[in-house]
Amino acid sequence: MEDSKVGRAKAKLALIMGLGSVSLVLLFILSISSGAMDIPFKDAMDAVWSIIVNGVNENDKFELAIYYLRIPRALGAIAVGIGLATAGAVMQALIRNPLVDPYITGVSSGAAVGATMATLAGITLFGDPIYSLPIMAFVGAIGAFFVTMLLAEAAGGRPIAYVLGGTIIGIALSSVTTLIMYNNSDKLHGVLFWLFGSFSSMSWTKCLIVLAVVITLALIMLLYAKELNVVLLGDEQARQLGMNVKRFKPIMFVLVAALASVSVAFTGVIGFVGLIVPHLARMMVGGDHRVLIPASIMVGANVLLLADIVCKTAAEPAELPVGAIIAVIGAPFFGYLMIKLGKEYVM
Amino acid sequence: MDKKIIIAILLVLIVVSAGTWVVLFNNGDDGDVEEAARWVIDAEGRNVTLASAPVSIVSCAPSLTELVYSLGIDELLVGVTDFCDFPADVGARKGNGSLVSVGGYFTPSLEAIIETNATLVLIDQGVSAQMALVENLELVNMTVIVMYKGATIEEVYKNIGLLGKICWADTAANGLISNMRGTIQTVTDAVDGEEKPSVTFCCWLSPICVAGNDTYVNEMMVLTGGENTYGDLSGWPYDLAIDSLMERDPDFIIITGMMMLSSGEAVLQSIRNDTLWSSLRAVQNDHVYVFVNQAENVFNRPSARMAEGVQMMAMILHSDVFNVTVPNVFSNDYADWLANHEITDFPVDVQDSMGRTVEALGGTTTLVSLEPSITELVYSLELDANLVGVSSNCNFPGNVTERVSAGTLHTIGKYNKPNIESIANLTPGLVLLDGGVTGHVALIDQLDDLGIEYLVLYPSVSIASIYNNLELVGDLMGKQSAAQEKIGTMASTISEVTETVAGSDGDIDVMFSIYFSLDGTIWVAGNDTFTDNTISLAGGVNAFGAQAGYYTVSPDSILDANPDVLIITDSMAAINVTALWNYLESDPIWSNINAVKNGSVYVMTLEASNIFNRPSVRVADSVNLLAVTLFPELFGITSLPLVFDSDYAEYL
Amino acid sequence: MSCDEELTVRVDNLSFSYGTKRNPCTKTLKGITINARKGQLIGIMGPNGCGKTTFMRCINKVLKPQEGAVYIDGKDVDRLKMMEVAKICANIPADVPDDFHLSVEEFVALGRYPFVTGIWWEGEKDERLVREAMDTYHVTHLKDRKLAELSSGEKARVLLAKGAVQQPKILLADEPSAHLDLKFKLQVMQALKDLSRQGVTVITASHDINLIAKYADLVIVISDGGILSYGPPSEVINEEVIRAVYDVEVTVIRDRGEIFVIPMKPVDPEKGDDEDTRPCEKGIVAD
Repeated sequence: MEDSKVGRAKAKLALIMGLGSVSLVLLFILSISSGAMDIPFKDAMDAVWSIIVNGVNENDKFELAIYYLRIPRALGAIAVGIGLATAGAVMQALIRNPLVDPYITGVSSGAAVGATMATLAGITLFGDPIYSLPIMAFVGAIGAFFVTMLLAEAAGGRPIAYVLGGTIIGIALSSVTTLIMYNNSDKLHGVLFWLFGSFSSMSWTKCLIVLAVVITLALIMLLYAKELNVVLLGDEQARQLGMNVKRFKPIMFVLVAALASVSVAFTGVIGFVGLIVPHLARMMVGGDHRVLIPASIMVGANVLLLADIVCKTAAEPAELPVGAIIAVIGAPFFGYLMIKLGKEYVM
Repeated sequence: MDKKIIIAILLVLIVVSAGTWVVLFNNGDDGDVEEAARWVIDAEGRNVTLASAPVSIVSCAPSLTELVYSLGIDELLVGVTDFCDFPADVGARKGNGSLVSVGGYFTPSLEAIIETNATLVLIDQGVSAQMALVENLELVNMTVIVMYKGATIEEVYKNIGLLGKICWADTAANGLISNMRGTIQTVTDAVDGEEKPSVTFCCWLSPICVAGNDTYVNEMMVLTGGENTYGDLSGWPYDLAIDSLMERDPDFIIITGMMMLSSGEAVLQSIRNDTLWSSLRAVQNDHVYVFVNQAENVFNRPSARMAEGVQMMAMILHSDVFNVTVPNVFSNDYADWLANHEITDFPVDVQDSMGRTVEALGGTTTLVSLEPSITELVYSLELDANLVGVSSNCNFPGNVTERVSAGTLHTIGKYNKPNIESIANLTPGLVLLDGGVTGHVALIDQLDDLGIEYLVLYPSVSIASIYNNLELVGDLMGKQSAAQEKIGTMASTISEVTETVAGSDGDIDVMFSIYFSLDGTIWVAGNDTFTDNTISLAGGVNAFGAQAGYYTVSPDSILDANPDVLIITDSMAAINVTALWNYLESDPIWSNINAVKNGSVYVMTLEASNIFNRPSVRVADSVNLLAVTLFPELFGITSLPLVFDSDYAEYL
Repeated sequence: MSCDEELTVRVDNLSFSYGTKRNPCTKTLKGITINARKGQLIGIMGPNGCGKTTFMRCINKVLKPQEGAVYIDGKDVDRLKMMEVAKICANIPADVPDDFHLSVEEFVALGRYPFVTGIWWEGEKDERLVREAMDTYHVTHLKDRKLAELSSGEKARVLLAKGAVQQPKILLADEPSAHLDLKFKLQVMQALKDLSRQGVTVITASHDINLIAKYADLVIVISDGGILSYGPPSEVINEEVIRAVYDVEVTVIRDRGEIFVIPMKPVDPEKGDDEDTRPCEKGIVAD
């Protein structure tokens, strides 16, 4: 029987999903058994078993910490990892360049404006202290994207228009953020930790919101993995194969922005994940999006969970900011990738 | 592609509906206070249901009438017994006809009750005549609730609870119960460990009727650290003679003059004159107390006044612990006396700066403080023994650093980024957080999940907010006197200062810099900060008060403001003062500023800096110190140094 | 001519201009009417910017004409959805996209996109067609290579494979041999001819008059947005037409049933240069 392309692709998919899941489970266990509260490994496992069988014992501080703090935190890291990695992979397809990340349309700057307005300028939604910040960050992120989209579509709608538009909007919004911070610098530390990115304030409600949105959007993007392959041919060729590019690309841009925004809203700006993870995935399984997107999902979840574990434990009990840590490790890695692959790709 | 769109839309719909269901499901659980009808199970086990709050109430017992008033729903009362006489408003309303009589306590009138057409009738389970009415009232479709006899204090609480629920007055009921519990708990705590004197409670003198065990008077004795002389008998033995008393010879005798016709003094006098009575130890030591009229009701009526009864009995039995001299006779004026000697230091429910209700704690509740000013507050309220966790930058008083190195106090992370797991590890009873710090407010979500209680203090925008926080914590932890004392000290220090500087012409422009770098970055305090408060109290004018918050200033604005006094705070003592002075004198702009020309430049370092920049109880000292720098001559100080450090106190 | 059933492409009085209502400009195409049958290889000739590419874009619904209609396989293109158009009409570009980084096999497989029914994977029939196409054009040994690594000739064959795998009734090829050397030029044209023998209507635009002369069944000469001449090569390709269209003096030799065009020298244009014949992008107000 002849070697089937589809068969090979399915095999690769099964392999990456299998290995990725095993590694994810191991990292998950590691995550819930580490933290500032010193819980011996065996006790942690017993606590988990007890929670599953009997529900949470409100008097056992180990069970409380594991159930209300560590598990949501691990799930949140997984959710954001999936979200940013998928958004990155799709964005790289839409822009037809593997050196972009999902924030390129101004999403991170918009989120920062929203967040600084909520914390520093004291603008809250109905006085709610917990959800004002994420909601305003999300609104800021999506708003910035829409302005970018308007600008880019008016300028022709080509990928480079999105990149340039996003850069302009990003710079403009960054300066707004700077102004707000300047005027309220006595309260700066309040927002600084958000800007660096952190999973420490995850709770069940927050992580379920992020998980729900991320999984929905990632699945939708997965549904259109074939179309993302076609888009690689260029707008005109894609159109001639029957794809409604004029409708597909803007909708995809919006979904990517939504995915990136929700990932940013609750945990702050975590850069480089959307850029690097699809690359790692591509190196492992190739560029066919039907395998690349699931691979990105797996790798993204693993990478972010691992990063969060490092941030939690490396400087106990202080927390390292996860965005900064990923940037520190990611920047040289990105430089290496750029040298190795940059020549192959033309904007 | 169409198939995919359908799948995509389905996916979104599923997630959205799942989410909505979860949200609704969770919110449904949070007690619907707007439920239509309410029902309770009364003392007889009957299900009493009202579709809405009652519009009129009949009370068949004086104690129940008092409860209605305690819950603040007295305007609903339409009928009371002849014996209901407290509070005074009852008599007034009976007089003007807005309250009708429904008969006696043991002889209630069925017709009178029916005629009132009241929505709710309160019946005392302890009176059989009243219980007999229940069936008849039900026949005419009147809603009756049978209240507990009140044989124990718990039953009084149950009555309050029942009444509160069935009259839609839950908040008042909960507050009342919490207050009563708090008072009683404070009393019990105060007398804990003290020697227990023996006490006899007489409700009649001829023959002598005493309270045995199994009565609430006995319960009171237990709570107030006394031993019932007649604890071996049960109920109310009423056939005793004086020789029984002489045999048992109690340390204390409390007499209530139920229906006694003579005055309390007369009773006391006749006891002292009587040969047999005067042989009793209690009489000889002047430990006989007579309660008449309304005063006796604190012991007789199972109402909210039982808490008063507990207080008074405690003060009688342990006057040394409470440091009071108790008069031997109490009549209607007892309330005035009690008001002057009331035990105020008991924990109560409070509302924090976010409007949350936090239930009374006190006692040995372990505390975690998330910032230095809060730690100072805890120490000033003498609650430091309760402290188990502090933020890593807490360093005052010195005891804090000692305890941290000794390991009896744990650090739980940075003050603006506390670590929730470290906090949870200590399983604290209460976490104190600052409502103005984002990093603290961000913890609320998780503290709720973990079931850890927390108190959100007022953000420190003015000195008044510091007072508010003292009172808040004082109320919650039962340290009201300490709080008031602290506030008093602060206020008097400040008013002394304001008086001293009152005479001056108040035209001194003060530039208060929280960050002064020789490379030109200078931060000042504007209005809407408590430093601004400090400046005006010290008799100065904030040179940069035009703008709010803390902000940077440029050389031209400094030249424009031309401050007379420059204060720089430098908590780490990092500034090289010689270099600073040289810079100020040689710089073309600074050398023309009044403050530099007059030599009125002061650098506050270490603790001298912290008293200015920390919204703690030491702010009063900062007002004092600032005033000293502005008007040294008014304070009798001849020379001031350039730099102030932790020994600033010598200038106060 | 012939009965309508065999007309795979029917263009009816097509007019198109790139301007908008606010910025009208010269019409790129005016009143084009063409009928093409199954199995015909049609060559389109004309100077740069005369509208060849525009014309081809109108056929497969990339551009919408302001006037006139296009019927492919008997159906009005305007009424068809893009996917349906793609099932009938395939397009071979001049070159592969330079940033495409999937393998050659994936590239060719994309040609099956209009037909794949599964959400993700191609079916067995699709895979078989891909294998056959790669075989036909001798690129099977390249199937795992990246497009950028291929030589021009290999790229041309891959493009053909992708077009063929679509099993189109109409194939549009815009200057498919433009940058290839002689051998590959002939290879490509022969492949197109073979396809047309199998019943595909091939429409190709080219600058190489000789190739068109050799391979086309029908030649359309477009000049000034309109059809200057239309018919089999023997009728259309002559000195007068070429001079009128290209402003070049040529010698046309007919020998052994073949036509050879030999360029001599360019001439000054006969008509005035006041008309701008380039398609306007920004909108020049005219006429």
